[in-house]
Amino acid sequence: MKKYTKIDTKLIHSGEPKPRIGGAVSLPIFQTAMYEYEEEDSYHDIKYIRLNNTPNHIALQKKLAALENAESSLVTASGMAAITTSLLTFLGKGDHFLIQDTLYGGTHTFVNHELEKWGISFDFIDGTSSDKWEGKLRPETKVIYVESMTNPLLQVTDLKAVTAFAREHNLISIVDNTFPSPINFRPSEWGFDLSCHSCTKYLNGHSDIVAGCVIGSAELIGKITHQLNHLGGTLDPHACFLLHRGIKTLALRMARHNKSAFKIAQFLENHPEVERVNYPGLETNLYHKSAKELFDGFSGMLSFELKGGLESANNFFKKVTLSVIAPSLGGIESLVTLPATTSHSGMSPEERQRVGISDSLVRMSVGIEDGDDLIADLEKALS
Amino acid sequence: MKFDTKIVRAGISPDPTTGAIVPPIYQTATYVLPEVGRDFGFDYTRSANPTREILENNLAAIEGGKFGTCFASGMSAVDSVLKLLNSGDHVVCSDDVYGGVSRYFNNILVNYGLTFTYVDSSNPENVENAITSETKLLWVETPTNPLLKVTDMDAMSQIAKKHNIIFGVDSTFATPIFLRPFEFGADIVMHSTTKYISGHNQIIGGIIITNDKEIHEKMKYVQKTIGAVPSPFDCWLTLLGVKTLHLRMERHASNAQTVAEFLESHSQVEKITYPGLPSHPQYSIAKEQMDGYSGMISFELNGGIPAGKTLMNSVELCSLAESLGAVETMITHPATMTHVDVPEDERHARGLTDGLVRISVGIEDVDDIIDDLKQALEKC
Repeated sequence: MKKYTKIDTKLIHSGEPKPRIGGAVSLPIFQTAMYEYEEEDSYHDIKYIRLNNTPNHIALQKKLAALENAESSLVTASGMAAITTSLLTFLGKGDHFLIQDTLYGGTHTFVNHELEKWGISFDFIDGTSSDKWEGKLRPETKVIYVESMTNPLLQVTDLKAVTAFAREHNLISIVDNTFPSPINFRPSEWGFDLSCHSCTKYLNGHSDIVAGCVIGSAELIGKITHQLNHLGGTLDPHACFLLHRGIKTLALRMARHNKSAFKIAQFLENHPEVERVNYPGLETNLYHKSAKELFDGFSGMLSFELKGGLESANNFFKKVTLSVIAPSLGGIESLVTLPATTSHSGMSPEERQRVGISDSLVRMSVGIEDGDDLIADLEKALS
Repeated sequence: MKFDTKIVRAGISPDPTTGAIVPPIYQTATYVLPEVGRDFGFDYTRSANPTREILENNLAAIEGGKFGTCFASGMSAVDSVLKLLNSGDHVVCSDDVYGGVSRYFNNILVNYGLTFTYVDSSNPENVENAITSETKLLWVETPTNPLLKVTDMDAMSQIAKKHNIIFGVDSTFATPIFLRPFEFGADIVMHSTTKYISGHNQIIGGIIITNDKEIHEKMKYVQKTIGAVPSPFDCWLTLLGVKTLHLRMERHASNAQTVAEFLESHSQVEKITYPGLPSHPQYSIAKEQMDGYSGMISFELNGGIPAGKTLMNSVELCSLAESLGAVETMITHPATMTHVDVPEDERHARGLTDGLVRISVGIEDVDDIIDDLKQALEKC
């Protein structure tokens, strides 16, 4: 099978079985739990949905690996299943790891509340101050975990420093690459060992499923797959089918997300009611230079601080009509949310304060509607 | 609401009971009535279904029409329009109409006393001359399949008005992104939603859209009575597909323009037909009435049937597949594939020459599509 190098073509053709099963251009949905035994050698080779090896899983996993120029990948029942299973694969009793302090709330809660009881310890690191990481290293440190862009402040992590640090200290480097998507950033090209995604977001992009994946070398993905086979956070074949379908328009969607978000960020930057805009595509942004070097686009996520605290945030949410008030992100519909009460409500107010998430910080996931309509709606809501 | 916003949002609001942002799949046959004689607008899914209704409203809004009625296929949508007619009525139809439509007209509907005249509708005079006192319907496809003839919508509308006949347009190839027939006075717009509208090669479906309340009521009546309805799940998948229609069509058209220009200058290609090329016979009409030229191309290969076969067997990226309008590039050679059973002289009379190839240009990287065609053409 020919290997395509252009990502727009990979989205459509990579991983598709050749010849197509039954000739079907769209891969059939193998909604069957069991398969006839074919003298497989080991338990993990038996075809079974939980073992993540149905034709729907295999095609999807090959496609995802191709998108990030990696060897292998594994799809999971959610982004959290990808993250937790990956961490639990490489960390055990007595191990220690480093993890970024501005994490997605779900990851933050898991790390803070679940790992200690299994004898796993960690230290938080500032993903943008690499000089402070070495002081937190221990002989038993095994993993360094970061997010390529943080949620909701859109800080760009010092990703080059992460992979250099991991190489130097023999750590497994893991990046949550959900926000840029493989269109804007491909971690394996920069030396990351593993890249996790909540496929619920941009990769699938249509707000219709919850799914995750982890992408990396065949060796590491093999180990995570064994772990997932036991933990059971497996993606159902029907959700595989929907994710597979959603991925096909990823390049077109991301191009529009990137373009509209940039336009909106510029609009907000010049609005008198807005205190501050967080979008690395803006030249004034602290992370613009590194984002430009690492990313092919700046994604569709931005956040902004309103003047006037919680009261103006409440007013804004009362008046916004086109953007739907909802958590989650990366879908075709524009969504707005107040991180303090949604994605980061698991943090204490002090912790939120410390990482810079104020009560009037609005996060926007810019959809693929007409950008001018979105700006008109924001203008109305800000007035 | 601007056009791109309509595509993503028109007719769709979060589910009132749960807030679900994607409309639920109402995979239910029937509905519980609160009391005798009262319902919530739905009683049986053949008559109406909430998921289907959302799709009907969404597509009607995008097309710029008031009412939509979904069917199980493009063919059942066409059939429903023909059910507006009575025995003895006459239809004037584009001569390069989709083969499934002419087969239905010629082999089945003639048995019910309907008569048909096929004309090259790219010349309005042919249409005018074909109209009789019995003519009730003018059925136009633009651009046509597979010869991509473009018909002047203004001229058709004037003729239809003058003779008081229903003007229906199969706008499957153009999609509302590039042509909105209601702006030219069409009475009915039909789509095979299997193609660009759903766009992912995953469902079979059709829709009839109209601004005429009487026609709409008849369509609803036919939908319920004949029963060729799409499943709620197919409606839901179609809705999901529509969300990226604007992005997909933009890419289909820009890729097709580049591929057409490549083919036009290739020595193995005798003739190319793409409405976006100045060499297209109706280029000026296409330019005037369309906002883009969509993703379908047909071309005549030097070397007839053997060359066509070689091309088909040499392409790697392009799929040999008979449908069109999806994310994957698909290629067909009518003489050896779709029309292999049609006698040669009849096939030739319809303009389906031995070397004719049709491409439905997908949304892949255009360089990869051209590389594939280049290597395959070298073998012809």
